Amino acid sequence: MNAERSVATVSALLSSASLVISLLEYEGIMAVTSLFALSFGCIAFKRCSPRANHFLLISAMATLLCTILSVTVFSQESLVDSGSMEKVTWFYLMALVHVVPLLPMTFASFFVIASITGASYNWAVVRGLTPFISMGMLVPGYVTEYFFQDINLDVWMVDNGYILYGLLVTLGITLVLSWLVSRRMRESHKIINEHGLVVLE
Amino acid sequence: MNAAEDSRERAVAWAMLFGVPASMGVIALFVSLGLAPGLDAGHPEEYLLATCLAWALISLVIPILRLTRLVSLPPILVFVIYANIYFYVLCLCCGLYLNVSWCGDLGHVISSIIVTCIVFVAFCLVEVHSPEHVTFGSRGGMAAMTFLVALSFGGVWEMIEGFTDTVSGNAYMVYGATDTMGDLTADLLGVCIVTLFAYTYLGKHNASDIASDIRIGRSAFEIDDSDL
Repeated sequence: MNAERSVATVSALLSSASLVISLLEYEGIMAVTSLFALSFGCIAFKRCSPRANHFLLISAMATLLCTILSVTVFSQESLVDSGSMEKVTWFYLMALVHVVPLLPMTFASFFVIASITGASYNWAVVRGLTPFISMGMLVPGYVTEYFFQDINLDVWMVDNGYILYGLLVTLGITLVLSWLVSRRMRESHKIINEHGLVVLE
Repeated sequence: MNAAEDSRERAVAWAMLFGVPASMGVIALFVSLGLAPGLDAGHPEEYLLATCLAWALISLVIPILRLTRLVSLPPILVFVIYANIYFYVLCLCCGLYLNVSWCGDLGHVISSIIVTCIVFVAFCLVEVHSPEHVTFGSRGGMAAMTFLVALSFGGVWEMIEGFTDTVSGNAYMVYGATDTMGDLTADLLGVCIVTLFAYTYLGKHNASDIASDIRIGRSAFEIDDSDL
């Protein structure tokens, strides 16, 4: 129990740090992703298996790393304004940075929701819903950026490509990943339910 | 269903099959004659005509599915879907999207409400028709999944808008990042409204109450007059 508590505490600290950094730097998408990581981590500590908690620790680490990258070396000022990168290339880069922490978070959402509600998902549900959940998690991020723009007019909102490439890259990556994961689930006759990833009897 | 119900539903479907595209044709006629206020508001003629054509084609789907005895939706859901189609097309052709600041946001809230309703209905169908080991769990599980999945359709719509402009080489549908983010905010509001409704509704009902109003597959359309 102490080990689990330590994992959950570290996970919460990392997510909180990511949340604070992203809020201070007006990084709306990473702020929402951090919030997802923090809330999922808290629920998983109470309800999920140690394996799920380790999984969420990795999510929290990825979230913090990507938040730091997106506001430092990969920021618009560092790459686009300095002329080292084309704007379109930067859109793709930021889309990748935003999607990396979302991938474990999306699969964690199945575990977390199942642990609270008694839901049970087979490979077909995972394959069908994963891309939508990932894209859905991005939307509150864009809404947050919208409010950040209202709060601080100095926040330079690039252009529509920033949003569209983000959604497109997320869709593409999650389509492939959901197909791979669901195929593995199908082959091993596994489902996700309140006990985690279990073999269907 | 009995023969009278079947006959009535088929008559409505035939009326929709011809009536809705015909009404879209009338709106398109006003556009091509230069009488649509949307032209003065700044929408290009070809964009308004393409919108009428696209929605006329999309409006065929539900009646065709009913006439081929594949899918039948509850009348109230069909009504709100078509009301939203007309709301969108008329607001666009009347120039309200560009002239009335809140019109676009209201349109997105309404569209998002309908899309979320469709997602919720789809999940109810999955819940009822899937194997025993597949379930969305309690009403909280159903509401959470509805929320997460329905949110993505706002993004899908924005991608369609961006794709349309990229292919056409014009700025027909996208008015910039601020507009897109405003649309996504309106979508979020619509999703929240239906998610709350779904959560409340499932407190006193279950998924099969909704699924029973939807007929899927030819066997669901077999005529049974034994109760007459």
